Amino acid sequence: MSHLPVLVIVIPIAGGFVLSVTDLVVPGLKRGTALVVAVAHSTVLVAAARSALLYGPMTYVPGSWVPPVGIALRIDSFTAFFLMLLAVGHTLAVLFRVGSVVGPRRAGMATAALTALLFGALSGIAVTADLFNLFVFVELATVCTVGLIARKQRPVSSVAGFVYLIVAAVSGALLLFAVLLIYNATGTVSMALVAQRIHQMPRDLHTVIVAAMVVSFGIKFGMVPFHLWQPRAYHAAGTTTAGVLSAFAMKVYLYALFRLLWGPLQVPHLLPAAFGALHVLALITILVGHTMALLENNLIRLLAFSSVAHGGYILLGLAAAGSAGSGPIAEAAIAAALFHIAMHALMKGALLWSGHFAIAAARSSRMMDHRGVARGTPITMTLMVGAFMVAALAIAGIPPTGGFVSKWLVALVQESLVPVLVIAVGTVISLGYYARYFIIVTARPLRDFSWEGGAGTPVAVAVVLVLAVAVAGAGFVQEPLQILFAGMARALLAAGGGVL
Amino acid sequence: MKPVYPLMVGVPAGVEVAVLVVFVVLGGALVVLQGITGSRRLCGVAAVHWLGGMVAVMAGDLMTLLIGWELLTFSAFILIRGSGGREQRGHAMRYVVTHVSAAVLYFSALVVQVNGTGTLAVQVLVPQAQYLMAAAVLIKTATVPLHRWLVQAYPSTPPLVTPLLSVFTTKVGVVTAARLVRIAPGGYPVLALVGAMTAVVAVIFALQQHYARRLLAWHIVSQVGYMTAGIGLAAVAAQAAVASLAAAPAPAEAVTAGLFHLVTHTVYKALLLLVAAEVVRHVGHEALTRMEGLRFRRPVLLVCAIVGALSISGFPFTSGHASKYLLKGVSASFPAVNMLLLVASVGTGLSFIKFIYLIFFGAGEAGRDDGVSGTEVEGRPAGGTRSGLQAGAVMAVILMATAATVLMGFFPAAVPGVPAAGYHSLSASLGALAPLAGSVVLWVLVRRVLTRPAPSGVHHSRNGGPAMFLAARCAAALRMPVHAIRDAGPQIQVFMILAVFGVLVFVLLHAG
Repeated sequence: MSHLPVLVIVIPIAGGFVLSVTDLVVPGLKRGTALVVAVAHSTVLVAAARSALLYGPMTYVPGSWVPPVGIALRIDSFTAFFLMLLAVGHTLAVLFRVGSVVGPRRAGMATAALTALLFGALSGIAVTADLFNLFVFVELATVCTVGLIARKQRPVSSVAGFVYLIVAAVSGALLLFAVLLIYNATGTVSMALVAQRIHQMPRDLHTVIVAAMVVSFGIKFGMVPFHLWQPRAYHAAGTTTAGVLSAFAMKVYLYALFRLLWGPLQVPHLLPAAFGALHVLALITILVGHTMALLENNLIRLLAFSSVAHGGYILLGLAAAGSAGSGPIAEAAIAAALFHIAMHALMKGALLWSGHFAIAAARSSRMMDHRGVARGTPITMTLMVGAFMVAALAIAGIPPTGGFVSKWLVALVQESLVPVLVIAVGTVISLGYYARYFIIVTARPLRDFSWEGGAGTPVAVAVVLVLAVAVAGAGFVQEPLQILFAGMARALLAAGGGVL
Repeated sequence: MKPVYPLMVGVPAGVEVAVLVVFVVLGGALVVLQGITGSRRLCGVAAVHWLGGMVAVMAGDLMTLLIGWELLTFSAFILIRGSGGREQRGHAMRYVVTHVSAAVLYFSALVVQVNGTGTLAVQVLVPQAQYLMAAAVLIKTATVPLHRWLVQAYPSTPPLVTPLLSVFTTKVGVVTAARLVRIAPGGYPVLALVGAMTAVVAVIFALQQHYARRLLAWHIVSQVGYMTAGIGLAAVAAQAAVASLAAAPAPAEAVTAGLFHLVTHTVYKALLLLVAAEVVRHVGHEALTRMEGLRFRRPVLLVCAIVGALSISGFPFTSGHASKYLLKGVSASFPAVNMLLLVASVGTGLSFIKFIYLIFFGAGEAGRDDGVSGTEVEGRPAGGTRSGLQAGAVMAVILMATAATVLMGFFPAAVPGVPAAGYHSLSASLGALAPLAGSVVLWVLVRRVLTRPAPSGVHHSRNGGPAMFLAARCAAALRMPVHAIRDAGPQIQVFMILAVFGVLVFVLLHAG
């Protein structure tokens, strides 16, 4: 089983090619194949994560080419968290996609292949221990994301895909720029070796590299003011893909930021001031994200802005961890950020995928078109609106849900009252927009809905319900989760020195 | 790892036992009433509301108390919204935003507390947290000028939902204040004055009301002001105890007085609101000046209403007298509060003379079908006819509340935690009758003014006051630039990325 780190990447990428062939040759087999790929990938991911959690970090060197020359893959407990997140994400996303489309499938839509490739690329970002390899996987993820955004052949999707392509190209260019500067100065792109040699780097150069990395990944996870592509892209991509992008892909970019700042760049030691800047950016992100969501009248775009805001909460945890150095507070802050990553993935998945039902029934994602949808006849619709509201309470941070716990933990590691009050204001604003949506969907309907198209299958309903129950129940198992996440946070801090 | 949810619940001690009993029995009765007479859909929500109230009173730690708050907030949101129209939607939104604001202030206080001391097991709140907590409590107890959510939302719900709401939300705020006064003596002396001011101001507004439940809603604000004043006096006493001033009463006494007033008020206010609901059902509207003298048709209701009115006015041998007597005792060392509460008593008596007179003895100068405006049960058609069981159930709860009011009036010391005192002595009775005499004199003088019918068409304003107006203006002003930014094309986005990159590099280079 020592090949687990590479299988994590190989299986979904191979699966992507198989799927694209199946799509053309035997479209009838596509759903089954997609499920097989997803389950196989998730199994390998979980096995790799389990191995890292139980037996410590593992390093894999393909072809025995040791780092200065070759590429290494590395999995520790911190990586394991994201591998498990991706395992959950890949399985649930494929299950939901298979379950939410009723009727014959159209051939030629590359969604299944692109999804598998995207999860492969994201796994690659998680396990790689090489900066240039990281760049390659980031670009692969970008290509898949553009495909997923633009795949519905509508003008709005083309525009959104194009905008994302441009913005992501800038992000990729900044990342490449930073990697080149590092290679120029240290002579290596292996993360562990860079971490050892970066101390000799001139301070100005180091600062430029850190800023480039922050901006590059800030674009990817939607930090204000780089977030403008996000609502457009989610809206164009539709709920299912938006769920994948918001709940899972966004988290992997945050992982990369964590890994880079603590690992090769050694920012807590060399440039602690960067975390002050990130702290301010996080506060702006939270406030702007929530405010824009409040002014939004389209459900998917609203949820996209909410994702922006919650990226800010995670960033707030990251900034607190960096400012605290390497003590128990740093550990608690990273654990809090991980808790919020896990909760936000579940909550945003539940929100977007339960919202899918209302959107399909109304054939529109404008919120005013959803008027009265909760009073619809099918019981699934009532269930889905219920799941949406549970997830909305959780994401606003109302006790005793899991969302409150993560918000609480993030607030606890803050040094001053200002971020706490910002979180408080964010709670009130988000409650405002979710309450408004609740009022709309429970009002008297003014029109008929197309229940047949929107009902979905029991599989899709089950996926949403699992997410909603997990969100609501996580608050009651938060103690073991906190212990687990604290261990993962320690792994990140320990790997900071650059263990090979 | 510290647990985030300790989830400690327990039966409280002292006068809080009485609070719990009132919550369980009265709340339960009102939930059952919902099930029998109201819509079935709301019955489950009402039960959640009931549960939230009990969780809040039985909470053994601050986090569980917060859970109780949130249960109450969201069930009340659905209850207020009901199946009403635009007006109810606005009230429900305002309600939930107000109460979540209170909850996040509480949350911030908890964060500050845990950051300061490292634990949720609170002995004394750190100073910064005390002010946040005090602000949360001021919102929750609807002190003037933070009272709008109450006087707007309560009268616009279905008639049988109002008593349920009035039992829990503000009262839980008072219970929270009572909890906090023991651990946060610093933030509270201001509560005594704010509470007393609220009692007076709300009574003045109550006197101007023309609709039964609007009048009662203003009196809720006023009476909760009494309780807040009582709790605030406890804080004053606690500080005085620190400074070892002999004249001050013990803090526990003031808390007991405040909470005992909570118990008695909850019962008689539920009684009065149920009377209003019965009147609404009987007459079909709640405009006070258009009642037709129900004294002959509903004599039992008249007796119950008079008991409730006497009690809220503090007439001797009623429960309201007993609790106000205790409050008067603890406020003796604080003349400003004492005077304000006295003025509020006069106004309350006057207001309820008007209430009883107009409903049961009024001439009803205009027929009920004059069709002036939609002043019926505000926002919805009246309950109409009900079966015998339904009417009987409402009357049963009314009689139960009446009996409780009378019994607590005669035997106040039988209530757990309430000290024996000279409630029925001659001086106490005279002291209580003096402001009521003032009320009667005023009634004779200004009766014409008070019983003037409502000017048609202006019975409520749609705009939600200056704060909402400002918020709406801000939102409107923001909308344009926000829409311009959010539709920004790739050129502007790339420009912004590069600009921020440059700024970030500059800031970091010059940071250290």
